[in-house]
Amino acid sequence: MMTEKELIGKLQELRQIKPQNEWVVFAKAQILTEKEAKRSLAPFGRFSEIFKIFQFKPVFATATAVMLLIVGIAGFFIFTNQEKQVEVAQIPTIVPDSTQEIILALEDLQKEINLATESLKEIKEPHKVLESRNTVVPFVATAREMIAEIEKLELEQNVDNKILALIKGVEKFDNAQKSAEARTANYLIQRWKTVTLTEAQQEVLKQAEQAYANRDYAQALINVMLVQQLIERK
Amino acid sequence: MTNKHKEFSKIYDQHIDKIYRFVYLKVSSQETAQDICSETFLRCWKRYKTTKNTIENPQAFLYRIARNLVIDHYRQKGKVQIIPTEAIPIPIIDPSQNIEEMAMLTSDVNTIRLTLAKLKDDYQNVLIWHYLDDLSISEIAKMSEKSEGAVRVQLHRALEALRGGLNPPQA
Repeated sequence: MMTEKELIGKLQELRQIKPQNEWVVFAKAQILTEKEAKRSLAPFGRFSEIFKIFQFKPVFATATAVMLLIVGIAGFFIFTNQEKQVEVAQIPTIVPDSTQEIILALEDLQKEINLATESLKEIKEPHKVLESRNTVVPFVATAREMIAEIEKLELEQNVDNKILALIKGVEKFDNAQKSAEARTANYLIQRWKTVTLTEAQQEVLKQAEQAYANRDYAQALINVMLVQQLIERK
Repeated sequence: MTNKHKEFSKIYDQHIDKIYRFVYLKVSSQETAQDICSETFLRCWKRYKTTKNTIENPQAFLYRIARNLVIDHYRQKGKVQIIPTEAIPIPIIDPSQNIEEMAMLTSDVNTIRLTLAKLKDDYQNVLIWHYLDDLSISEIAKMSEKSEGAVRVQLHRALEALRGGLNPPQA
């Protein structure tokens, strides 16, 4: 028969049960980023509000429908056609009723994207680069979809030019995010290469280098940040 | 990083191992334990970031969420808590041990884990909190809303139940 001390000793062997280090680090990053995903929109100012509206799909009632992009006072969008206004959100907006107003609205949007692109160039902290990705990637995807729809429409030449400028703006915005990821991942990879690492840390660093070589900069950044967190957790 | 971030990051680091182990011992699945554990900390974080002051006792709060999520897990799946009899790999930390020692230890750990998992939920909790997580009787009493005397009695009974499970009466 075991003594109480022996029994407790056996029970305490269960302390060996521990979560995997990699999971601990990733879970923490995910939990804290859940909050950051919203906060990271802040540098983009009104852009964050615009992004919300992008999540609504435009509705085209007829083949001749004209999509009007409107940036209201609060920086919101709404999609309309000639027959009726299609509301996509319960938000106050100003509906332009002339080509000139559409052009002004598109110019406003262009400015917002340019500002957001500049903000991206200034981001230096690795975690903020990853957080901004949560905004940029879905925005760019939706913007491209929307632009593709707009391109099907017959637009006046001066509106068409603004749309072309918008396409370039979205591309620059996308590239700014990719550059931020590449620049930050490369900086961290070079930094950790000069430090003595454990075998496990070296393995993760190797994966980061591989992802970087494959031009998967976001994955490279995630891996190289994992190296840092593994070091801190030691 | 905001102050709330830094504070919560510290809470996470302090409690993740304990909460994971607590959940793992109840669900016996690494994947489920990870899911429940993530959700536990996520809920805590959501509460934490919206609270003006700090949460008074984050550890108790985390255990409460984790317990509720484990209950929900079994309720949602309509599951009876089934403990798999096959050996679930448990990381054995010291690589300097020889294979024979490691095998013996793994087997011991699994035996105790399976026996613990068959005990009443309340018994499991007091044993884990007191002997694995080093919580005092008074802390357990507060968390489980019982008197210290009641916790002592429960702890004693839980140990006896564990002993009984490890040494079943011979037929």
